[in-house]
Amino acid sequence: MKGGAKVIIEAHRHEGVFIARSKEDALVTLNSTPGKDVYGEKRIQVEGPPGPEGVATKLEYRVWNPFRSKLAAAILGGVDHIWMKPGSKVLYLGAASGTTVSHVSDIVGPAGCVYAVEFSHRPGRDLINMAKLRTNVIPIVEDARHPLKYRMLVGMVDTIFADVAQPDQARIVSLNSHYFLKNGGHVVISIKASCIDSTAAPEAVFQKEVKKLQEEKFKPLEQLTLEPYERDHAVVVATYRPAPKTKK
Amino acid sequence: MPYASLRNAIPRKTNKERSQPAARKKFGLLEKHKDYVQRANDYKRKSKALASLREKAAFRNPDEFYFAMTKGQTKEGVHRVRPAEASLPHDHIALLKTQDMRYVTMKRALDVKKAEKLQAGLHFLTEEAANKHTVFVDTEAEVETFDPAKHFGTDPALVTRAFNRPKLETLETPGAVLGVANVGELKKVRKAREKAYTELGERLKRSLSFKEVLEHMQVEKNVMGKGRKRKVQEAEDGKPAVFKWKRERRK
Ligand SMILES: C[S@@+](CC[C@H](N)C(=O)[O-])C[C@H]1O[C@@H](n2cnc3c(N)ncnc32)[C@H](O)[C@@H]1O
Repeated sequence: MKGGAKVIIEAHRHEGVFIARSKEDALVTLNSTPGKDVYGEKRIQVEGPPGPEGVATKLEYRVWNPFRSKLAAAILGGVDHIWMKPGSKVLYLGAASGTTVSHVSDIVGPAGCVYAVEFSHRPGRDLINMAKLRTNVIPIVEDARHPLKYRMLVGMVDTIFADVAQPDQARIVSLNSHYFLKNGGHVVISIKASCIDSTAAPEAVFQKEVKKLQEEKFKPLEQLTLEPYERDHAVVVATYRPAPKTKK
Repeated sequence: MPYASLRNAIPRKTNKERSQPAARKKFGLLEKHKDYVQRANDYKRKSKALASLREKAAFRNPDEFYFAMTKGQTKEGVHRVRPAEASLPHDHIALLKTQDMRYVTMKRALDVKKAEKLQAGLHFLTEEAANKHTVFVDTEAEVETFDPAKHFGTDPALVTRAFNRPKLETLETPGAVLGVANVGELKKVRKAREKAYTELGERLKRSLSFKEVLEHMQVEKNVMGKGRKRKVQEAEDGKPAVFKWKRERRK
């Protein structure tokens, strides 16, 4: 946006995420590489609060399209917690070309880290190119079904985000959690009903997936569908091996 | 021609064509021989045609019959051998129809593209949520006492604002809202945003109706194609009719 168009930036419930209201009405993240877009998304410049010398800083935000990102759709759908904030370490399964990954990289900031796993080579190439500019992204072009292949690259993480769109997603997530997720860490899983079982009702599919997670020592916290951005999709958030309750 | 240039050097008298005398001006331009030849040729051609028609009429067979005669009709004094719409050959019409389809496809693509571009920045941030949010709790008792405002740690007034329920502590931090403009500017920006949403809605609606039109055109094109077919379902509420083709064995 040029010419200092009037924009209001509203801090979001989730740290590192914002709402921009101008001619647009958009979810945005603070661009960690100002002046550069990742996949042709719009950028919005705003005059920040004056710094210590009294000079106003320029802030740049990138529009995060919920029609293309399940995580963005979940945030606008009102998810309570995304378990990603500045400094978080996130394992992202099914990164594709890294559109969503780039926004997660904005959120976790320089102190955090995103391990982005993608299995196909073609989107993997875009992912690697994106990571060249964003040093907190570690691209891994491997099959998420074989976490042993990339165990040397990934440390313990706080959160696993999964959007692999595979019928055995629950198994992939628990396998990766077993290797990389700290106890009491969290998983955020996007479920596309038609990818798991195209004949059953979406609601039943989501329920079954939650059941599978429970069997793998996850404790579900919340589940939300992604209308109006996606049809028959849900995001489930769960805790991994939560510490036994002592208080309350 | 020798000394052509010398000849041109001497001024010559220009011969003016005789024009219609003023007294006969009402008869128009004065006819010259050239004009007469044209008029005579025209007259001869016409009288020859008339003579030939007269001859044909004189020798006409009163029992003459062609099937085209049954299709012919006289409309407003003009005899038509065939109804006007069948004037273009079948494959020519088929071609025109594909061109129509291409045009509609192109128009639709424009709308879809523009809508996508608008939608990238318009995220439908409205108060009423369109989705379903389930929170899992441990005991039945917690279900009874569930308080959304407390659960989300936000102001009770913001609970329905699914797209952003700021936490109480976020609301208190000074930089929570950046770049507040004056009221007049706010209003202008809001107007522009509303206009953009309206445009988006219209483009989406139009691209859908283009899609419907395309479906109809496709069916029409298929029907014009080869093969024996029958209608298995009538066209209804915007959907084109459904045809079924007879299976034909291919060698
Ligand atoms: C729905 S897309 C993810 C889109 C991405 N999360 C975004 O929002 O931009 C799913 C991706 O998962 C990848 N994928 C599927 N199976 C995989 C596996 N076993 N390991 C790693 N990636 C996988 C696919 O190649 C595909 O790019």
